[in-house]
Amino acid sequence: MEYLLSTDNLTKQYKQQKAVNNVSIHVKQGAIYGLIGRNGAGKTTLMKMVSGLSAPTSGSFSLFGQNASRGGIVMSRVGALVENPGIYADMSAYENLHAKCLALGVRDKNAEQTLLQTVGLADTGKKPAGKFSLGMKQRLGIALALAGDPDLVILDEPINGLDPQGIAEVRNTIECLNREKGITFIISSHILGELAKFATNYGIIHGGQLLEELSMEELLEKCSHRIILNTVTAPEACTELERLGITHYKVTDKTTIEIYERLDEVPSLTASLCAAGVSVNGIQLKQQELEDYFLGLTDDIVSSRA
Amino acid sequence: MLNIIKLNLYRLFHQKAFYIVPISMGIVCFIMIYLVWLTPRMENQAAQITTESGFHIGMVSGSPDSELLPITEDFNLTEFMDELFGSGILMILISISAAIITNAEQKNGFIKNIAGQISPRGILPLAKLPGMLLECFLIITVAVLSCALSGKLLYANFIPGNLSGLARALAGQLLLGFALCSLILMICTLARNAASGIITGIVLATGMISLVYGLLNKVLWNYLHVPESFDITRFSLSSHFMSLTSASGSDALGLALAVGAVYLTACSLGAFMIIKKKDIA
Repeated sequence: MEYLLSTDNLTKQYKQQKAVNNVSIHVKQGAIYGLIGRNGAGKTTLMKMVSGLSAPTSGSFSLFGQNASRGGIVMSRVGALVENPGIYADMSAYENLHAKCLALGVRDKNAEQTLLQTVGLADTGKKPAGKFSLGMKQRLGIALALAGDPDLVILDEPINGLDPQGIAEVRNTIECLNREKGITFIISSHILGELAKFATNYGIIHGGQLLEELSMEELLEKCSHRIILNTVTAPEACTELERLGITHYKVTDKTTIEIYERLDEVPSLTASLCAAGVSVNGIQLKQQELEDYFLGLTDDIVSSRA
Repeated sequence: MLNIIKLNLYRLFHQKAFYIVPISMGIVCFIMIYLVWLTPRMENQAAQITTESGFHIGMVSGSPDSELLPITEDFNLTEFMDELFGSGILMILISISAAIITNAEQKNGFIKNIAGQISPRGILPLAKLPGMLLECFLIITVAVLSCALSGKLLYANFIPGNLSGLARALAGQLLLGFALCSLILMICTLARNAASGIITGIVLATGMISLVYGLLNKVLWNYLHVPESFDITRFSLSSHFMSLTSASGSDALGLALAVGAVYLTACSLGAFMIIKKKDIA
């Protein structure tokens, strides 16, 4: 089994609109797969399909090497927190977890307490979950997804509403579970900087379509160092760059050019441009963030469609 | 399946509605008996004041003496229960509780925690049926106990009446109530809200559905040439629910049980198919 989860042209259509359009993602066992996309990109719909909450209109997906498009026993190995945490407001965190454990037939009598400790809710006692803060509810939702020791956990925006400390705790929990128990995670988040800290693979989805799927190593390569050249007129600078033999560059606006080669020649490049009479307002070596890469990719799609 | 039943029972015992609906039934029964006990006494008292003072209070026609209502000190439990069955109150309260039970995890989204991991998903609504049966039993038991206690408290003579007939009627009402629960379960699963189930219960209990049955009968007789001896209301859940009493014969009871069993089977199957086919919102 090469992949723990692989989707094959998975599509979900609501009336005329395709929320997910021929998406094929591949998640390796033990990976933390970050699903990136804007609001309405189709992340939640895709997560609902692979967690068994929604049936695909067409396409299929396999889990643990078995076709799971029509559900089946294999789905019991998938825990999910999709959209808001679904909790009984008048029941405590322990009781909510006990309810889920009963449904899954969990025999370990300490399972609820262990899960509460895992997500940092062990001291909530009999407080009704309805009176929890947003962050606490989110953590309870994660605990519910972890009930029954699933092998694949799908978390839709799990750090929504959490303070920086809460985000760090959730991140540590996910990393710890991934490392110690080998649980595979699929996580969507708007906070790309945070996702970049622990995701091992990424899927970028836009307008219901998968734009790119890449590993952390590939992303690092793509988000590589570059020279940001700020000049008065970009066309003049481009002419001079090409005269110097630099072809791997991109004009991002009227005055800014990103250069992807000869990164260790910043001083000589500055001198050459000045000697050619090109006004240089600034030049610096910079590394692109995941967010910049994502925005660049989706902006390209939007502008090409326009 | 057993695990999901355990979950539903666990949740049911933690749900306030599980206790509130039977308590409401008890209070309604007491109020009904109290009003039956109070009304002739109040009216006779008003009539006596009118006679003594010469003034008429409210709309009085004819001789004041002729308006005195007979006051009885006898309370027949079986007769009162028969009246209660015919009133539709039992149907409304059973519908409310069934709608709340069905919609509990849909409303708060808890269903999303389990629906993906349970196979086949169709067992999710079916696993609610034992809890609904328990709630039906509780509502009917509280109704009987409340009526018995209220009767003993307010009236001088408490008459149990035809207890064997009452027991048969109660068993029939329990099955019909259970069948009603399955109908509400199917409707709420389809509509994904409790209001649709409660409205269905009210429509059935108030007899508004008879308009539909009348229309269906006309269509059957006039367009499908079904003999006019055929009456669709004979196969309706609500008509059996409200007409099944301690005085009902074996035929009536048998037909009521058969109708209840058919509804229970069909609606349970319907709910199973709906949740299996529909996405979890």
